[in-house]
Amino acid sequence: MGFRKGTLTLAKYRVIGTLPDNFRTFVDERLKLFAFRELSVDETEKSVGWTSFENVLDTNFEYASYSLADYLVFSLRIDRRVVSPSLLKLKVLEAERQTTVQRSKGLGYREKRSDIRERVHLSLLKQTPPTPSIHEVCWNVSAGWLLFGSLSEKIREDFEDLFKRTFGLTVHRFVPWDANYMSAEMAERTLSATTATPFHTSTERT
Amino acid sequence: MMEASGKDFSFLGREFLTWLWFKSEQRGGAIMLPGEGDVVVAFVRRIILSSGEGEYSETVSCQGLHSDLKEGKEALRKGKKIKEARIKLDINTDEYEFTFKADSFQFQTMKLPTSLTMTEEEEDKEGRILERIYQTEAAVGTMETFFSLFLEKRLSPAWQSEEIPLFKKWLAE
Repeated sequence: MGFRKGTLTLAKYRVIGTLPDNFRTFVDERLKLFAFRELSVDETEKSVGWTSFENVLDTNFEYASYSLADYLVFSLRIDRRVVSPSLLKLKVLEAERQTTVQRSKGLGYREKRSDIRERVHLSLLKQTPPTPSIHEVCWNVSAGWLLFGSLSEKIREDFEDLFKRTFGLTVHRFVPWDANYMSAEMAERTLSATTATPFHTSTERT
Repeated sequence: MMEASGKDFSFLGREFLTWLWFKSEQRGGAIMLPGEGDVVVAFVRRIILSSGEGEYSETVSCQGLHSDLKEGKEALRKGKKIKEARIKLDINTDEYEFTFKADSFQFQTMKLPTSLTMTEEEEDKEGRILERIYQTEAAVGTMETFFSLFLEKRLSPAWQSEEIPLFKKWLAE
């Protein structure tokens, strides 16, 4: 699925900021610095990083494999551990029962319910294998925009944050009616015309 | 003079998509793009119409090849606008199809034209990927040009004197 084959899902961004003159070297260094790394056993939440578009297991970007004509094409990989809510519920119940029994025998202390939940969640998280997701990035550097292959809010936030940390550039979600990118005159025209003539489709309000 | 900087014009997304449906029903869906010729637009299979925001919003979903017209138009008459639609574009005989989300100008499950000259083996080659990037750009760029055409019309005196009467006439059909 994506630029290689199949259907595409995409959101467009404006890329704001200036890249250094030696930007090819800069991009190469920064992509490698923020490349994806596997979650270690002790890491509980998620790992976010760049991988090659050609080969998702390639995080060395051999032969600048991300460079394609005027574009930089690479992928964002996010590995996230997610505990099944029903499993968590069962295990918390079990743990609560255990602490009640221990307490009745005079063993242990009264552990708060929220603490039990937190402890069980953490323990389950460490046992859960991470679920990976891959999202393509196609960046037209000279035109100052890029296409990103996910519409999920959570994933887009991870992408925007990592892009900023990697390249020191901000990405703004593209919509063609963004007043920040209109001339003052155009914004004034848009405001006055749409206020003066609202677009009512209702036949009762003609 | 009104203060326009920082103004939220996101309502224009649904206005645009509603206008585009109307245009897709005129001239056999052909919309003239300056310097590029006609692009044929068709709304296919599914449209979602909505009014209001948040907990006050009311949404109507219309599916099917023919029933959508009638029910969709009825929803428009009740004041709703199109929030999401499955759109087919014919650009220089290349066919594209995608779900378009009006509020955020986003594209979902976009089908690109199939290249007859490429074999399976060649699918992974750079040329094929570049071709698909160009095709994606063409579809996104066309929707942006449509928006520019809409905005130009929306801000001109012709919006009220020409476009709205035609729109109302189409709505009443």
